[in-house]
Amino acid sequence: MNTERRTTKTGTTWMDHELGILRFEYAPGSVCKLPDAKENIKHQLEVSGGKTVPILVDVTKAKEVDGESRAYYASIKTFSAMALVIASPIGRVIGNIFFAVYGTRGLPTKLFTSEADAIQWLKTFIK
Amino acid sequence: MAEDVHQVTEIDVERRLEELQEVIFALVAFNYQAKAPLSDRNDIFDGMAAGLNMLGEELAASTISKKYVLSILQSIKDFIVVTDSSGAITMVNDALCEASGYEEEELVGKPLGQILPGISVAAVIEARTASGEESYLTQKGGGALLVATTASVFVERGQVTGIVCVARDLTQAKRAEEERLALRDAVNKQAILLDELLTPIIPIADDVLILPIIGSLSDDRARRVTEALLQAVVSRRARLVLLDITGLRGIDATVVQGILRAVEAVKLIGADIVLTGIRPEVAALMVTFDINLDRLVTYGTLQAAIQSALGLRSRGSRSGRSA
Repeated sequence: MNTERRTTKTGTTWMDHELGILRFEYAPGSVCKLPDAKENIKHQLEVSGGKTVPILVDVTKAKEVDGESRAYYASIKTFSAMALVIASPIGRVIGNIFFAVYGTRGLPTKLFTSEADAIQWLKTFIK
Repeated sequence: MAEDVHQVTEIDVERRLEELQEVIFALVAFNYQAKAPLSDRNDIFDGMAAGLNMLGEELAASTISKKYVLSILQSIKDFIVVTDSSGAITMVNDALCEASGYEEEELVGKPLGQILPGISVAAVIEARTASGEESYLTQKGGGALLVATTASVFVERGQVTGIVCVARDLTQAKRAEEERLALRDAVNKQAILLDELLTPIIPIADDVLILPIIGSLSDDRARRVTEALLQAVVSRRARLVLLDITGLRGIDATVVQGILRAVEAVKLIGADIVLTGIRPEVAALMVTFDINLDRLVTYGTLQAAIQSALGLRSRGSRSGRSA
């Protein structure tokens, strides 16, 4: 079982095997540019072992996720669903704008202020 | 998080609101690069600042400004004019103004017919498009430019609101066409001159012509020689033609056939024809082709044929060496 945690400049990725959910949490005050986004996705794909799993992204502590990063994240179709936890003013804006621009791209995406609610929703996508 | 907001002083609030206001002004002015600063507090102001910053990024990625589009239209060298559905001009580009001599203000609101009288807005709207038609662009000074026009309906939100007309100056193309025609004319004249040089029909008496054939004789040249010879015989009422082939080169079966066709044609219109300058290889070829030489009068040299022809005239009869 792969329990490895991968930490980059902008956040940490790990697989919650108990829940069957891939998780990514932005580091406090992180500013995410395109190279950071690519690095994060690379780790997320490696940690999930190439399986199609739901992902929980906690953007609460992020300071900025720029436009190129958002577009890149939106282009990744590997996950079965994406829950964005947005329990801060900046996180709320990042989540809402991401959802407004890319929410209809085909990948089920939903915003949550509570991690527990996000997990509950993502469980419905676990095969 | 709420506690953090309460810790911000009134001066801070004012400063941060001004920062947000600056970014709003920039966005309104299509400056999508402006960014509002973010603090590390992740407070409501940071949320608003992040929102404006992201809005600018999304607009920069998805919006094309009117200024940008107009710059494209103004850069196009073809003449562009847009009208409303009544035919009143709503927009023209710089190229059209330059060519017509009108300022944009002089044209906007005026009927399209003022500058493009050959285009019917109603007809374009009905047909939805009209292309490849030649028309004239009226110039302010009273002149007119020949143009090729393409027009199509202008659709906004699904409704036809006018037409867009693109006109291309044909002056240069017309001039090039005229030059091409002039060149073709000159080439034709040269071809005629060449024909005349290739078929130098020389009258040596009122009714006697000499035609020396020099060089090679292709099918085409043989045809032209025959035509020129027949015309000369008819126009000069010639009774005798001396066809000299001393200078003929590259003789083969086709050439011999060509000569014999000329001989037969001259005879058909009632003139006599004498063949001179037959070299041995030509004679050999004629024999090889089993050509009937009974009716062919020949002389070894042109000089002998001329002497004979002129002698015949003076004696009122004709003699020669029938082959």
